Amino acid sequence: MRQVTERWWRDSDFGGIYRELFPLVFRVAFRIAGERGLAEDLAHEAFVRLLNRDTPLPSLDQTKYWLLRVVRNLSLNHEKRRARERRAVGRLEQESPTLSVPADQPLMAAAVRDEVQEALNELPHNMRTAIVLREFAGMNYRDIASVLGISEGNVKVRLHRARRHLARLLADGVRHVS
Amino acid sequence: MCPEGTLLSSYVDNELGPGDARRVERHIAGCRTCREQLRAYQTVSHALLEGREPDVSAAGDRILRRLDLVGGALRRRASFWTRGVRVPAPVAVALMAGVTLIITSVAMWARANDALPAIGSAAVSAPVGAIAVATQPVSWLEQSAIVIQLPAESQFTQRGMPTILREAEFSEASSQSAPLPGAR
Repeated sequence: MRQVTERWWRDSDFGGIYRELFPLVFRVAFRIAGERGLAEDLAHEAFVRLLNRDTPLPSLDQTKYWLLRVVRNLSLNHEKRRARERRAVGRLEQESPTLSVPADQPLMAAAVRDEVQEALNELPHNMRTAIVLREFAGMNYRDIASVLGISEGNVKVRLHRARRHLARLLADGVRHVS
Repeated sequence: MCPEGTLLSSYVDNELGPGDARRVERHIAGCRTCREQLRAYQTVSHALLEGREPDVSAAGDRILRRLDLVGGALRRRASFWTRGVRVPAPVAVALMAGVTLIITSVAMWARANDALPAIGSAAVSAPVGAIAVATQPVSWLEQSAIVIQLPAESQFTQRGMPTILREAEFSEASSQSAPLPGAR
């Protein structure tokens, strides 16, 4: 478990910052990660990193963007790691045909099915992050560009492509679940 | 000619300037394809917002507890006396070295001032009787090591073992010998 060192927040209203920003950070983390447990881990790690900063951020908005950027980077790292693991499992399954998916897994997936989230999970990470920041965080293009470190033109393109993908997926009832 | 898809998407997000927004509105009024595409984008936005929401408050409490576990004094504010001061490491090392140097210098100065001159003046070339005079009034004798250097040119004759003089004999002996430089 990461250690938090007492720094700037001893003299600041960390509780106030947390109350103000946690719901947004968690919602964004949930929609990017696609699962509650992982979203909690991402949000937790983001706030631990905030506490470990040497200096406070100049404003609540800056703190919000900083936290969202951390969540986005953490989730991207997590996704890359998971993709590597999936490839490794795939190779293992090819080598050992006796290893297979349990028979009840499709039923379990159907029981907890959330079409919107499934559609989001189908998007590449860069498009998903952009659309989540726009739709769930209500951020404008300039702020999304600032959080993602890209140009506003690039934000426009990512959002357009994300919407086009989502429109198709939702119309098809999200049959591409991986 | 239909506008680019990015323009329609930006229109949904209210990110177009008034001129561009009016042009898009004029176009979609007469273009069924673009109208359907725009409706599809708006449907996506509504669907996303109507998706299943996670329980934010329960998650918030859980994470706050986790933060509290690792952070300890999350809700406490430090008092003035327990508040730390951040100093860059090189400055801290320089400060510690400076303080150590000052303490060492003061200790050495005090020691040098206290002891050595009296030892030298009392000991060098002192007649045997006068050394006893020099030892009497100074208190440092009890605390410091004493080096007695006997004069090289003196002729010593053996007169038996040293004896402790009584007070009357001591006064008589000291009045006959010359006073020591530095001895009282």
